[in-house]
Amino acid sequence: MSTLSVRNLTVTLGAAVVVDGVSFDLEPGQRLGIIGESGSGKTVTALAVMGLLAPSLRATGQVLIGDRDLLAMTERQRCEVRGGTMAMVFQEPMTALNPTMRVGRQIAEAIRAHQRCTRAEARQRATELLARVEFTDPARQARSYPHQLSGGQRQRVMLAMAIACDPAVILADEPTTALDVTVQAQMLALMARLVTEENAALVLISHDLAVVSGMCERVMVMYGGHVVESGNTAQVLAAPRHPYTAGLLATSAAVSLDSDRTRLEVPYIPGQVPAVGSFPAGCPFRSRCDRATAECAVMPPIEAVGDHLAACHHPLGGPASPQIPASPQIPADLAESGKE
Amino acid sequence: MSIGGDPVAAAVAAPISDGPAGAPAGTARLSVAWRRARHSPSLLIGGTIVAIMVLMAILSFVWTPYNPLGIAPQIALHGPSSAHLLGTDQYGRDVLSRLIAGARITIYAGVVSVLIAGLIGIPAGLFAAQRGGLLDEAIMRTGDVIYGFPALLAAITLSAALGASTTVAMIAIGIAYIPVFARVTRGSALAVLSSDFVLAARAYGRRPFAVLRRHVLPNIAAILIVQASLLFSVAILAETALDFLGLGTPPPTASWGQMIGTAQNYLAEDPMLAVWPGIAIFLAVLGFNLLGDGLREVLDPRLRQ
Amino acid sequence: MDSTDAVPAVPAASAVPAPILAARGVSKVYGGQRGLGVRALADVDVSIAEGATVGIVGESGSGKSTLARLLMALETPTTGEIRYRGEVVSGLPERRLRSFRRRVQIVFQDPMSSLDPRMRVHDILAEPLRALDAGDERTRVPELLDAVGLPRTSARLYPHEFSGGQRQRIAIARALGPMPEVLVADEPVSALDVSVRAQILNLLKRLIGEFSLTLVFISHDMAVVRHLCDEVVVLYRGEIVETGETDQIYARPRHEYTRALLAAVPALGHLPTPPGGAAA
Repeated sequence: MSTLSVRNLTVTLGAAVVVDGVSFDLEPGQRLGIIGESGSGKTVTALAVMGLLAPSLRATGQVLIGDRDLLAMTERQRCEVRGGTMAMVFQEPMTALNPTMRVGRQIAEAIRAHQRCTRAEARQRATELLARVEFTDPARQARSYPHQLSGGQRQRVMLAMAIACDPAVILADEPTTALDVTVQAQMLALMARLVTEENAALVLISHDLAVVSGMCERVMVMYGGHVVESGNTAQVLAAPRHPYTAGLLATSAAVSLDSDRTRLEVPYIPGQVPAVGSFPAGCPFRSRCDRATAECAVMPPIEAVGDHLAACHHPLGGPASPQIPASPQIPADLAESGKE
Repeated sequence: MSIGGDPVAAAVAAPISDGPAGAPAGTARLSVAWRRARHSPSLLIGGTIVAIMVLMAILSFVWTPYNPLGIAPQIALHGPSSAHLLGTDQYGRDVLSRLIAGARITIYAGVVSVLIAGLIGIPAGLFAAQRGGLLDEAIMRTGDVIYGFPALLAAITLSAALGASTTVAMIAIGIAYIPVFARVTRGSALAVLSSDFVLAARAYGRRPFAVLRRHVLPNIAAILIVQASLLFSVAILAETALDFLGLGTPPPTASWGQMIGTAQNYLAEDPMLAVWPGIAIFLAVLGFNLLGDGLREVLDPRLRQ
Repeated sequence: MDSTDAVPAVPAASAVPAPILAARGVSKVYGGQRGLGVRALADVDVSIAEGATVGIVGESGSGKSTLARLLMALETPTTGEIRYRGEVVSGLPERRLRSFRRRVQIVFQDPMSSLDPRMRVHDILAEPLRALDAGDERTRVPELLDAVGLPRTSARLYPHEFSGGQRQRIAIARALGPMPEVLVADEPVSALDVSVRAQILNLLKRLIGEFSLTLVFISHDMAVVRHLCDEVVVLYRGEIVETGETDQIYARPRHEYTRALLAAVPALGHLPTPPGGAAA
């Protein structure tokens, strides 16, 4: 049975559909990356899965943890799941941590919310967790307040809280976006190692194709609330079928460390990301797509195209494009690099 | 990250291709404000009360049911009747007419104190925010000293020294509230001054004064309007209190506070004499408070979701 | 580092033209007297030749944004000086900076906070022209909108009616208004959606050619800097650790920190390498 199974998750804000029919399954230890820009619905998807949506948003569908549907649970039952079976890491650790509480105590409280143990035991566990997220002097640093730590350290505290109760699933929403590149690299390596050690499933949400492609063996591309492409990361990168994915890939590849830097114009996706609620009906990408036809006024179903899934009436075909990047490393490899 | 972070922020950023290219954005903005106003009961109720008060005050210059100063001893302390809807006072003056005329004093009192507090407090706050350092310290600490002195006591002392007058009392109240304006202005101005568009303005050579006038003031105007309306109700209360004590508006001019003050002596004959101006004061203060809260809901960007 | 003369960003060039903009021995300490303050920059020399495209890279705390503000004469260095075409501009009163302001302009990272929300686009673009007497707003504003690829009808709208990429176009148009020679861009694409980022990069590259701009591009993103700039200055904790031609530095980084930065850049298909040693 899947650890986490999301079936036809749809989130509405009044009449506007923010997330439309998202489905995926996660096995223990699997890593799924969700790629999207602003308005793609990626963050709302994560919050819906956690049962953390604002009251104005309504979620339908199923979020199955084992055989229990989170969307059908009472708030009390959800609280047991959150932080216990499922944990989340947010983008901005400064706002996600309580500024008036020492970080050790915050971790300890997260433990005590789900496990029976004495205060001293929880403290002891918190210090151990800080050591696991590579704090050099955990006993001392447990007594720090969030503002005394660097951005990277704060995010590692969040990670320690996330793994505190041995979760089956960790959701990370742009966990490294607010960090410096060198700190991001450390954080990603650490996450990869911990997820492997815990044998937890990971959902990594990011706007950065490169970050996701290095971390996750499966990827899901979202645009305008829809999943437009999904599949094995290497296969999607090698032969993107949806024009949006292809456009993102071309842009990323053209501005990278090994592109032709003298080229005057890098390939780009024309137009702007529409505001939520003003994506065109049917395929949300058709207003920016050069392959769009009248047919695209109807949302295409997501179905197998080649070796993975895409939701497009006119998918890009043909053999894999020549600039195939190296296939993502396997988790064991990531764990190695994380130990440096 | 909250829900508001992603979709709602994006919802504000409607692409221009979506809007009718010719639609004047200014009216769109006004209509948005109006749409929000309709959903704010405090603004509607407060606005209505205040509008009625202002109309009453203006009307009283040209018409009142009777002359508010017209003495008619033969009908003194007559209760409500069809000729005098709210009755007459100890000199036989029509209470309704005096209530209508009293609105003038109330509005005047509010305007004088808000103008004084605003005209001095806003520039002081702006300069404190922009210059920072010693000037900032000097302005804000002076403000603390003024704020520490009880406003009503200052007004009483001034009135006692200079003779009872609405203007003197309201100048005292106005001065007492300069620090409030200065502090609110400084706080919101600091936020605007730290934004990149102010840095950009400096980068194309806008002088400090022009930055304040073109960028800071328009961006904090909403907050200041709210503050002014709240101060208005404070001033009304202070003015009525002083009049009640006989230290504000001298008789025979009609003023609500004074009406309550003199009605005290005739409570046995007609207790309603104190009730009518009491209701008027209550409604006026409520009106300006509701207006202030309503304006805050509609105008203050920080409260927009 | 040579203490008497600015180190040219291109060390080996034979006929080095006089720099259009230069920082000499610049330090900046924020707050506190008697050495108690925070040192944002320490003895930095940068020399920007006319027509050059110079990337200033570094992470948070590197002092790169401080350097941008110093180069713009928006702040005064604690020690050292900023020169524009040989003339000292740092520490001058604003009234003596008018011609400098016309020639050196800036674009900021967050196009939401760099545009006054209470002004229409027309006024946003006209303000620099008015402040600097730099042309007739009625003809210049439409021209500027054309130059950055926005419809002329945009002039009537407010910033919140645009998406992030479009707002950044407005900010770029505003900077171009006074016909500057030097454009300082402080992380101009970092806050933008990936699919829009390429458009703005292309726009910048086109405008550099069209307006013969000298570009000072401040960024944490090694890939973007490599795409736009011919020279690179690497800042680390307020000090320059490496400077030189882009191709050279990216191919053979000499300083350990530059190597760490390059290794940390995420690339398609593999995890970036964290810098060796303990966590920061």
